[in-house]
Amino acid sequence: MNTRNRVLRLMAVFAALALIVSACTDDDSGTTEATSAPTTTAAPTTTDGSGTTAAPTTAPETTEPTETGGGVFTTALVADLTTNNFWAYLDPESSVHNGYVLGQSHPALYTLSIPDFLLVPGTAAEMPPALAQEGENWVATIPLREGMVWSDGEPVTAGDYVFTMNTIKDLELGSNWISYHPFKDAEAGTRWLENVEAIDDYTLKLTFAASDNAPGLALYQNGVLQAPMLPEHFWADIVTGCMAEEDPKACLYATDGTGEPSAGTDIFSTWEPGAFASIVANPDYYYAGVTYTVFDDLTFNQAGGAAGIDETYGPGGSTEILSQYADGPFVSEVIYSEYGGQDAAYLAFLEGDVDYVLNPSGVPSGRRDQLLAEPGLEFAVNPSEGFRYLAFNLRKSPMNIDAFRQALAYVIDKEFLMNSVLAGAGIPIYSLVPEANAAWYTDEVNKWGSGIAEGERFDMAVQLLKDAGFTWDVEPLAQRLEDDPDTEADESLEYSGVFTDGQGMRTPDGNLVPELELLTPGPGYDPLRSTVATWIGVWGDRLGIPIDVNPTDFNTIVDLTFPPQEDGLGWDMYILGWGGGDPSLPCTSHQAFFGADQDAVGFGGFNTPGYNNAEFEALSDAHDLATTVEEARGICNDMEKNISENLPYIVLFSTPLTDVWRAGVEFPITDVLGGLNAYPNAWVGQVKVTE
Amino acid sequence: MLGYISKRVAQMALLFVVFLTLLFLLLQAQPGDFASQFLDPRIPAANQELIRQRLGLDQGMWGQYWTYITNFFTGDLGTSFMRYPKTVWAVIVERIPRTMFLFTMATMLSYWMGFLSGKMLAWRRGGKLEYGITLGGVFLYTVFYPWFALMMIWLWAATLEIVPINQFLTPDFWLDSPFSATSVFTAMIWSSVLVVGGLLVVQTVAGRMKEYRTQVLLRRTGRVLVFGIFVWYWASSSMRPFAADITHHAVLPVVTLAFIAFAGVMLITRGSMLETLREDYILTARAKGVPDRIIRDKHAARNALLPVVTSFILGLAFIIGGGLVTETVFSWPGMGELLLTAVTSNDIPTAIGTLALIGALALIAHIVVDIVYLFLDPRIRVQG
Repeated sequence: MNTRNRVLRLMAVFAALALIVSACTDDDSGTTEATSAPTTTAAPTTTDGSGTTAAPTTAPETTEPTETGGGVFTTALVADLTTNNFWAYLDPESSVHNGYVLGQSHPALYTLSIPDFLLVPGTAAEMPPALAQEGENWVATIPLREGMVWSDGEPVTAGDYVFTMNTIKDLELGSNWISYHPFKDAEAGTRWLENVEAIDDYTLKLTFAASDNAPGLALYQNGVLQAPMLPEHFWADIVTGCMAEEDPKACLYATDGTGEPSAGTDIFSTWEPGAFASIVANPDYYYAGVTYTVFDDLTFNQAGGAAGIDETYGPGGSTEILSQYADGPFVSEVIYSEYGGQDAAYLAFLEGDVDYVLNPSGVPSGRRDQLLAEPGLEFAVNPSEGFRYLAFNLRKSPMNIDAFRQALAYVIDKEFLMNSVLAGAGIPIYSLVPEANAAWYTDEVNKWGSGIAEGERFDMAVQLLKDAGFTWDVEPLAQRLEDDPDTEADESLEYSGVFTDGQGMRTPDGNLVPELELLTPGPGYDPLRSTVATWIGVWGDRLGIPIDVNPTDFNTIVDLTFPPQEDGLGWDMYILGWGGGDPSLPCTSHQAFFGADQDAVGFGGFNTPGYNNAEFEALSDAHDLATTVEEARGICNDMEKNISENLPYIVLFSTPLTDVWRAGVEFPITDVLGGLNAYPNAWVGQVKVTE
Repeated sequence: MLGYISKRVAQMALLFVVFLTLLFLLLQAQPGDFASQFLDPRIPAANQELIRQRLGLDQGMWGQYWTYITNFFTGDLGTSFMRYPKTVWAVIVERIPRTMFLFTMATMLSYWMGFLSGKMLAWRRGGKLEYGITLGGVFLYTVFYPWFALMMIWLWAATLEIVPINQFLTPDFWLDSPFSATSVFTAMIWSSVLVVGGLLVVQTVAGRMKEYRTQVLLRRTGRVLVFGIFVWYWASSSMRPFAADITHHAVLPVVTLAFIAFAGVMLITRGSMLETLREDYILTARAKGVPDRIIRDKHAARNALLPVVTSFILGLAFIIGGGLVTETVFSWPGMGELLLTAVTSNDIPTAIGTLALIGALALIAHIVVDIVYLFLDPRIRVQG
């Protein structure tokens, strides 16, 4: 028995050893060689965009065409990549994690410069022309750059754009695709893109539907002109085949995207589902080595590189540089390791397995201190694009009374909450557009008691309610020192800090204010919002507003407040948050949140409060028609003022985003609204790994 | 016997329909739906409705239930919401080999360790060793598993750096791999199954030999042959380095899982052995002067095996489900992690598909246990 056991064990040990030893032996089939450094291509024909201005007096430094192959940049995804199909990525698989891997490979006519969010030419040869009227339609003719090629050598042409747009329309693709091609049946509004035509290989003609006014920025510059272009020669047969299927969309989305050529900095290379994906440097990238410079007057210059271009857009004249960096690719390969969650990803980062964690919410606060104590790491803290807010159901009383919402805004002391209670975990804000988006931010919003002492703002809230006709059985009172016999008189202190809670509050029509439910995500989901809600409950009670704070599941709140809604009466107030919108045209979000035609009841939109304000509607219409950034900016500022005054939302706070990376990695930019994770497809090609 | 089995199968089939219905209702009772994930001011709100239509969420609960049940029994588990338009089957097939490999290895190891230690503990009752191992076993049986798993990672992977941290492979090693991980996992599972099968054949054939020496010779030769073929296959396979990489990554989760699971097996075996050792036939064997080792291994341990076999077979059914904690902590993207993601993102077809598979296997395992009992324990007879 002993002998038999021994033999059995020996065999088992031998088998296991054989496997382990084999792992350590050299084997041609198993070893991984670094991708050989691709050579740069000859410089394409230089194209000077018409509409360019004279180059600034101080020419920016330019970088010579790059020789890629400078190491491997390893990153961690905190969730799995779920597709390698670009069509699917922008519709059913539109997760941020898919975007991290796939987002950099497809060109567009125009892109946004990072970190300044200026519209700059991509495949287009010049800045967008103004739309011209042709009959009743509005048209634009756009020249494309010659010399841009896909990674398989095929030229990037107007045909690729036409093919992409026609596929969106013919297959009725949804989600993000609708924003890029608002075709007639998909767009409920009165303006849509009617036709896209390639006049020749390098000239496009866009025709918008007949209307009295030219389509505005949202539809034109920030919509169709930023649509990604997919290679017709790769997809045409697949799309044609899918059109014959019962469900063409499902057929298209199910197609394996492996082998699709790229015109971005990198080419999608390998995908082992659940484990990792990788992209490799595109040796034929048109903008390789180009240096981008933004001056303080928002003049944009792109110069040098393999393309040998020197183009300047904007007013020109300034020499003060806001931002400047060179385009890559500087690394031969980028590896995206897939981890099931944040903990595993940051553990791998701490162990040096990855250089950077691609986490849309930045470094979790619980991890920050641990990482700060680690040597060899670099950090950046950036403001968030998103915000957390308190929404009111304007379909119900007393939330539909302006003074009620404004009184609550008076007593919600955001500075106290963020600085004292939450120890700086959040940033108090008063507008939907973050202050860091300087070009669009306005400080001229109503900040409702900001900087005023607690007692005084309380009195202002009570007075506001009184003026509106609210009454109490016991009136709320912020006691003054002379009211308090126990406190020694001190003329420098007006309020004692003691409050008498209001009781039996009645609306202007005499009805008792019922208990109002404030829905908020629980502390497990978001301790910040949960804490803020608790304090709102406390302050509400002081005013005599009976607020029942109900921490609940995120999905429960969404179910109760977002479409589909029958009557929208199932809630009173809730706290949720929105992520970033379009930083280059931020008030399109305002229209989605507060436009009357976006009411969650009846229209199925995101206007959950049911806000319907004539002034806002006029601004919204004007915003739709704005054709210049300056015009849109002015309207956007007015929208902000309108919202801050009428308060369908009380904007509460945002959170700073922390990024951390291993020393030896150089990002082209580190100070950007929303943090590095917001735009990895804009910088992944420019990352350098020096160690 | 056939009548009994038919009756049990019919009962299980009915139970399965009830199980599916409850599963569907429970998942439907969750707040929110999959379309809520697409709340984005940059996308027209009407798109939400299009998503609901595409995924069949506009049908209402009973409409969805009827569609699901009718499709399920025609072998169509539906389309995964998270991986649209990939079918649930395709998603499951991608994940199953990873989970099967990890949990089969861990289960085998834990039962081997648990049975051996349980047997020894019962035999050497009262010694310091028994107290020590029992205490250790109870600690592992009751320890907070996520904490224990993280401690194992910290010690073996982060501090001693003997095993890798997380994931089931080393990405830069696999960049140019001509094989997919699924194909390597499949080859590893099949080769292990063939080894186990080969050993069973050797054991059966050898057991039929009359001569003891022939039995021993056949067993030894057979085992050498089976293991030899296994080693030769992997030594000559171009998949070898990749299989070794996966094995290297599997060591820590397998050992951690085995440590956690072995204590239960050990305590079951120990209890069962102690019961058996009190039987009269053990006393008779001792009185006859049968050596202790034979009494322990042949007379007592074999009879004490029954509850362990039951637990093992039922445990095998749940292998396919993997483990939410294990797969999450070790970043092992198998069925457990799939189930967790499916439930949290309201991907109802994937969640039901995964749970239904586990449920079906659990029911089958119960039938198998009933049948195996009839063979293992001659005292059990079918009545009625």
